[in-house]
Amino acid sequence: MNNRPFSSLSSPLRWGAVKIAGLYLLIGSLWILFSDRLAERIALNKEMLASLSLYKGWAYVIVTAFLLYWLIQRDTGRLHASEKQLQVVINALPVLISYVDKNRHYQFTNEAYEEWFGEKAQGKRIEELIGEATYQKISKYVDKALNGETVFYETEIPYQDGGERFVSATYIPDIQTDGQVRGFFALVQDISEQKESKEKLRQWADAFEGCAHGIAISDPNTNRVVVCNPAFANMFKCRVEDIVGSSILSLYAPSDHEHVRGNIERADQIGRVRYEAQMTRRDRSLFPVQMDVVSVLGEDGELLYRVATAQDISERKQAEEGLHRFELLSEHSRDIILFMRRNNGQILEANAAAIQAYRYSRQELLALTIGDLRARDTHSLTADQMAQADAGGILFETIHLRKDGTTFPVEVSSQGANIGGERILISVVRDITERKGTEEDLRRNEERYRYLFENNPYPMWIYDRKTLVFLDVNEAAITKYGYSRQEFLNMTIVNIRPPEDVERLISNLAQPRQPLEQSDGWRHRLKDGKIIHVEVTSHTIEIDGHESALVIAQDVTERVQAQNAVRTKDELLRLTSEMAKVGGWEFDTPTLKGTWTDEVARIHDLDPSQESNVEIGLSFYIGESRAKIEKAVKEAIELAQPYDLELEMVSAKGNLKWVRTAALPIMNNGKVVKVQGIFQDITERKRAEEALRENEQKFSIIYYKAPFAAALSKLPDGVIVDVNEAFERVFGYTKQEVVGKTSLELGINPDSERRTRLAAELQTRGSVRDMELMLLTKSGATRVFLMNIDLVGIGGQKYIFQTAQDITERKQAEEALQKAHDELEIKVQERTAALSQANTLLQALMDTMPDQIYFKDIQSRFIRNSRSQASLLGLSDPTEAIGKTDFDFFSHASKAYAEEQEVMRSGRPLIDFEEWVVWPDGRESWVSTTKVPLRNSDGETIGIFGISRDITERKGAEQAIRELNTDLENQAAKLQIANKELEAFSYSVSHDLRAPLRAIDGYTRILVEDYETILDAEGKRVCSIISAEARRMGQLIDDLLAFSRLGRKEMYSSNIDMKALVISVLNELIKEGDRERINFKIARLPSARADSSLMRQVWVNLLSNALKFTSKKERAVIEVGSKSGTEEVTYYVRDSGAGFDMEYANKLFGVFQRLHSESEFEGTGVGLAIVQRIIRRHDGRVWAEGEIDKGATFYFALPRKEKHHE
Amino acid sequence: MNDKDVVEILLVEDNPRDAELTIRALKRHNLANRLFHVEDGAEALDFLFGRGKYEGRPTEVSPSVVLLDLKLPKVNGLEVLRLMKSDPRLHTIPVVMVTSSAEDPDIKAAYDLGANGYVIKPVQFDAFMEAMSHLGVYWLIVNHPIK
Repeated sequence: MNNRPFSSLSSPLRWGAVKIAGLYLLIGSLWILFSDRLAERIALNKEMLASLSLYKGWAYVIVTAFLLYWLIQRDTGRLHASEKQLQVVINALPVLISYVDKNRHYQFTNEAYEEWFGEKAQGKRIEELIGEATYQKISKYVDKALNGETVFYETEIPYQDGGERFVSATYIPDIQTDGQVRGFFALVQDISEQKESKEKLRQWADAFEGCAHGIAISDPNTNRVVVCNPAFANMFKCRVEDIVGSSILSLYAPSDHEHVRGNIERADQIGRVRYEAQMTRRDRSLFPVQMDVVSVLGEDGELLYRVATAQDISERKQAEEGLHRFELLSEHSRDIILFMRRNNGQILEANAAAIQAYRYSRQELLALTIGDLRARDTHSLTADQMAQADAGGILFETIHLRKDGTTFPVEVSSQGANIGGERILISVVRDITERKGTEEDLRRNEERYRYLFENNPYPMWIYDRKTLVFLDVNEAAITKYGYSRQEFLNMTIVNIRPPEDVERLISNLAQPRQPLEQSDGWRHRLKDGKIIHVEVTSHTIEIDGHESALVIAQDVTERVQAQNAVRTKDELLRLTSEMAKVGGWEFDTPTLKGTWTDEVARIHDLDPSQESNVEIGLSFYIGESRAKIEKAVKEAIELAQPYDLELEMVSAKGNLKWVRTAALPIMNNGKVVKVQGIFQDITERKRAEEALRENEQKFSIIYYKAPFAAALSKLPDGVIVDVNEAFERVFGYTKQEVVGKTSLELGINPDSERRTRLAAELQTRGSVRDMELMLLTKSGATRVFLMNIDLVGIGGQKYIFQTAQDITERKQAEEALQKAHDELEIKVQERTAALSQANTLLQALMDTMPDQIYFKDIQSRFIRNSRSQASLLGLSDPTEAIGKTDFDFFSHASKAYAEEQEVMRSGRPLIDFEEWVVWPDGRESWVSTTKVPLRNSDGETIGIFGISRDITERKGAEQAIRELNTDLENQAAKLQIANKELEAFSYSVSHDLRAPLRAIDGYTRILVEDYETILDAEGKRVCSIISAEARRMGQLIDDLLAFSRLGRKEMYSSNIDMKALVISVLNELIKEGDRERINFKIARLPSARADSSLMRQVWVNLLSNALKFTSKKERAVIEVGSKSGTEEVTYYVRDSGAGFDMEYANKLFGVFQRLHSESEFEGTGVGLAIVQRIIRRHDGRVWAEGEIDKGATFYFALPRKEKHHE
Repeated sequence: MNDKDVVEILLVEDNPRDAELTIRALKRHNLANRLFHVEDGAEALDFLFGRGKYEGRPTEVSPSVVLLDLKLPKVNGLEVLRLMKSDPRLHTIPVVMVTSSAEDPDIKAAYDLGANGYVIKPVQFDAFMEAMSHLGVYWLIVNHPIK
């Protein structure tokens, strides 16, 4: 900007001034040069020259003055113009333009100032306009400008709406040539919008730059990154500049290129897409990201650019990975793993083991707290345990609760952790039921031992090995030995020995002890001095660190004695066995080696010389026997239990044998030293037994399970010994109830007579076969049985064996069957009777009807005929026709046959088919046939039913009728012609007859008019008569014409309101005077169905007659009424007029018939004839009654039904 | 009475009595001055077409009305009517059927052929006279003919 902004405007001014000066000089010079010469030329003399010169001077001045004036005007005008332009520009600009003088007053302001501040600024001081506060802000700039500096700054200044707006201000000092600053030009521009946009842009840029997520914008045309934020670049561990310009795909791992491309396409289609992919860094490392891509479209829908937001999900992926691994671990762990919230114990996670252990579903578990899983009595500890777990971890035992309410002991290891920002407790729970059980068991065992100890029937005590002092004794010991507990506890075991045995004891005790020792041959001494033999079992146990012994002392005194006895018996046995060929054997218990007798070896199919031992001996036994013998041998050895067993064995030769082996253990010193036994082959016996048992079983099954009731009773008393299940079932008694009683007692067979017969038969034959018998059950019901009785002997005793087969149902069925059979018989008979009756009726029908009726089968063979048919066929009996077809009777039967076949095939009956038939006897006739297919109950066609009638007569009659019709038609046609002729006749009559009449009347008139002067009164009278007569004739012709037309006219019937018609006619006919003179009585008249115009004519004629014939009476009555009858309705017109002589009543209705002269009453005499004709055409009748001078009544009756001719 | 030059009424009537009566009626109203009477259909046509007997008659001047009876010798009234109405020169002439026939078929036929009126001759003289004078007055005075 220049220092002198208006300098550009002054240049043209200056240039203008130069121009003017130049011009002035030029003109002056020229004038000076040439004007004188010119003046001389022009001047004629000197005076002229003088004045010329004077004028020349003035002219010069004036011209110049004008020139100057014009030039200046033009330039100032231009100046003004440019100034105006400047003004416009200044005011139009949206910029505040002002000039402030050095006193800080606004010397000039453009219009924008007014708009901005709402007031004129000219002449005001700056601070006046913009306010003190703002002035403070800018005063330094003002000072600078007034110092000659060009200043440029931005600030906020108030706007006229009270708000402030951002402006940029430029001050240009107006420096004079002498360097003085006169003032400055100020240009102020509203930049508030600009500022806002700038601010917004800045914010966006900040957001972009500062965003934690990576954002990259790419150009869809080049698919290269246009711009990205630092976060995006950081993901790739490089700078923004390195990313910008790269192709998008180059940022992804090659394996994901397809995937990414596809997703980008989707983004373009649907607007946005989210996907995960692997991106690659410069150093080829990969990292997973979640990308959101948005495709931004321009206004016309074209793709502008794509914005991609990336989120590095490596951590998340790792976390997912870790989680997945952990999940696997936890799912496979056999221990229960629970995650729960520290603060409320809510279960957040539970593994499969937990679901299994607690028996809740996963969903259910996650809805519970840890408290729900703990046994109720452990709840009080829960909070404390959780706190400990949270603090540093805890391991404890507790009891947990399953869904079904059962508990199980667990060992819990719990620890706190921070997961997802929450304090979580992780617990590993192990089911320690087994372990606990074991502990439990131990405890229980201890208890049991305690129990056993205390309650053992044998004396037991515990003594200290070292001190030999009794530590504990049981009740049995106290009882047996007679000492009290206290006494025992003060004694040693020595004290219970007889003195002489003590030495042995001590030396025994000195020996090393076994954990379990059993010894007999000891003697103890009771408190009362009695000596008993005891067998002592001693357990070494540790109690409270002391080696002690648990002792059971068994009093074997008796046994000892017994054993001694046995020993002797032993010898005896050996001898006996030798003799009895019962094998004997024995083995030593320590060695388990033994011997056996030859017999035994033989039984084993072994060589007697062979050595044997227990093992060998046992090896021959199989299966159950083996187990049995082993057990028995073991017991014999260990517990001195003798045995006597029957066992199965397989001999050395493989023979299956049954043997009996009995053993007796031999004791010495309380120990079993050997076992002796016998051995016997019992195979035969066993077999026999078995066979017997089998039979028994068989028999038993047969007997017990038999379907027949069976009873076994003893002879001779008949006491029941046994009954089978069937018996119980059938008779209702239990076995207990009947055994021991007789059947008589039980009342099973009430019929004594039968009983005697039974017994007799039994006696004679020894058995009873298939006898039917009625027996009573326990409930009293009678049932029918088929009895079979036999005499049997069992074990020497005679028995009666009875079987009873319950045939009640069968009998009932038989009876029912018989009854049904009988009923059926009756029904069949009835049906047959009905059928035969129907048959008879049918035949009667067929025979009596005159029509020919026949039934044919599917091949059109006669099945049945009526008599009439048969006779027409030339047969004497209808049955002769059966099996024959039409072909047998008629020469051309093929047509009929084809018809019948068609009827049967299609199922469509042939009804009333008329045909000409030539009968076998030569006769010919017209026949009307109806053929209908015969169907069975299933709807199948099985034949055809035909009925035909002789219609020859009817045909003849039809023919006659047809001929008659033709005649009638001819007649009608003739009539029609006649009618037409009549019509033509009437027409010409009317036309031709009228003309002469007219002439007569006319000429007579002419005569009267033209010759009035010479016609006298008589002449005139004659003329008037002539005219009148001519007129009358005309009337006659009209009436006649009307009368004839009546007959031809078509009649249209409609419902006529007779009364209305009468009134209408009267209104037409009545003249002025009539109303006063005549009393009209018109009754209600029923409506009639007739031709309305003809009816009108009737009423016109009758009523005009009535009026005419009462015209001479001063007072008259005309009455119209009706009478309804069953067949007809009668209407009448009664007048009290002239009446007529009844003698001539029959003439009344004749044509041209009058009963009064023309001079009395005028008329042509056609009126009533017309009435009669009309009424006759309506199938009605007319008649009249009258009395001279009294009046007349004219009746006409119309039939009720519509019968008139159309 | 007959002015061949200007004929206002052409009366076509075979019955001389009727004719006389008609003329008399019209005379009463001074309408008979220019009346021409022919006695059959053929003559009527000859007159109208200016041929035969009336050869040379200036046909451009037509009657103001033709009173035409139905029953005429030689050519009957309906035929005359038909010929008149189908001829471009004559069809504008008003034709009134004056006849004693009151038969519907006749009336219909006449109107079908284009008759301008149908008057039934009353038998009574008075009525007849009146009808005729009405006719004359109407067709000659009241009605405006084509010119």
